[in-house]
Amino acid sequence: MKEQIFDIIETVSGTDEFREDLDMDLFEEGILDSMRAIMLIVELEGAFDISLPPSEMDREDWNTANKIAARVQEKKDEN
Amino acid sequence: MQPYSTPFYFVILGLALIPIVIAQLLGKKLMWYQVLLTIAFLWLTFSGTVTIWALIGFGVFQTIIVKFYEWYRVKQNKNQSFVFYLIILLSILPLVIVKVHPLFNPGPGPGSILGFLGISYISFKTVAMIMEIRDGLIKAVPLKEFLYFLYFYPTISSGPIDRFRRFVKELKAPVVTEKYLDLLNKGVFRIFQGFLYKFIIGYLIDQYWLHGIAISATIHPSFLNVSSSMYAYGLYLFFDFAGYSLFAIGVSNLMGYDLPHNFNKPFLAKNIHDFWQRWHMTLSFWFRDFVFMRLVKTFMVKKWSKNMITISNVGYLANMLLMGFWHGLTWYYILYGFYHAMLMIGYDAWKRLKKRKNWKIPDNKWTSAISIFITFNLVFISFLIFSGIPNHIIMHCIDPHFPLPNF
Repeated sequence: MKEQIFDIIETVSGTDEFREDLDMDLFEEGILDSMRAIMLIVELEGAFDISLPPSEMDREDWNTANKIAARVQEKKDEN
Repeated sequence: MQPYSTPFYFVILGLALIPIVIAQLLGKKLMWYQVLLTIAFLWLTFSGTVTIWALIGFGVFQTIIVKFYEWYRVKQNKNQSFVFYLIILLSILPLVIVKVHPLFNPGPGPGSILGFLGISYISFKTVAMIMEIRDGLIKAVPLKEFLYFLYFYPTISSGPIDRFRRFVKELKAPVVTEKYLDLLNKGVFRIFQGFLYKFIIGYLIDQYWLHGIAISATIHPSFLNVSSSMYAYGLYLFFDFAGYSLFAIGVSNLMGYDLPHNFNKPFLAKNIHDFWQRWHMTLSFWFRDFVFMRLVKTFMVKKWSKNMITISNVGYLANMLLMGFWHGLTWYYILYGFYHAMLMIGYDAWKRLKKRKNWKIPDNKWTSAISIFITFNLVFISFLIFSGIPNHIIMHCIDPHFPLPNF
């Protein structure tokens, strides 16, 4: 699942820089911004059949590739 | 009695807070006293006015709506979009009526009978809750917590805009003495900072600069006069509102609540994007989370456009225009919203241009200073629009008997 998530991040952001450091802050590095974050939400919702409401997306919990993977896993486990 | 407006108010508030401070230091929340305090201060603020009925009526109305939607969405587990939109519309209806009322009853008379101090801000709280119930983030709305959240006294007049889940989490958490001591410390400091901002700096700017220059600019508009009034107003707006926010946050801190902040050195913003992450943050983030992001997500999911640029531009327009309308239905509030939308759209376009042309602009003290300077001035132009001074200038030209600005 992690690989699938990272592939989606790569498609949405157009870069695979984050793979070098899965804990780099994607927003600070300009890899993600508000728009791409929403694209990411839409893709992740579709791929894993989960619900990701924008107001829940606390940047502190979603700003690295590892954190995103963890959040998706949590959501999947909830269902 | 207006909140935070007279020394007498602060004395009473200070005395009233002492039991809560002592209780918290002893590890107790004293919820019954907090509720009593809220009722007492609401009474002090609203009694003797007709608006107290609007305040109570509004609370009853919103409780019915929110509890209904909780029953519908959680108990019945239904999620029809049309019910959601209907409930949202009902929730904002009192606010819309209050804002539209002056169009039908222009002039200095009393506003809509539905209006009361803080209606604009409380409405944000209920609308956000309805959206989060829809999203499944809020699964229960306990009545007592809901009412306390809605009527939470320190922030009732102008925010900061808090969020239900955050507030309830804090409400339920036990008192941790070290944390409270830290909060107490910060709270007291913030109240003093608020005093400095609102009653000293803001007051001086108004008394010795803004008040006079606004009148001069209205009667004898010139580039110099108008620019001066622009800076005076913008600085006054900041110190006055940031001061109020510090009071609200500081008092909440004393009661044990770590409320989110409203301002973070906004005049150091390097670009308009940065600015909206520093200025009236609780409002900005509310609009971002509950308007912009939802709208953009809907566009993408429903595939109304493939063009990301178009989607974000429309998103900015809708977001900022709504914010303009929320301030009031005057041409200058709406223009204020539109202008900020243009700034956001323009800034994105500038970023794309730099990327396309591969311009590598160095990041040093000088370029930072220039970006801050440009952003500062673009933002202050928006404050000038917002102040209504241009409106006064135009109206004064048309009719010299039109009332002068009275800041």
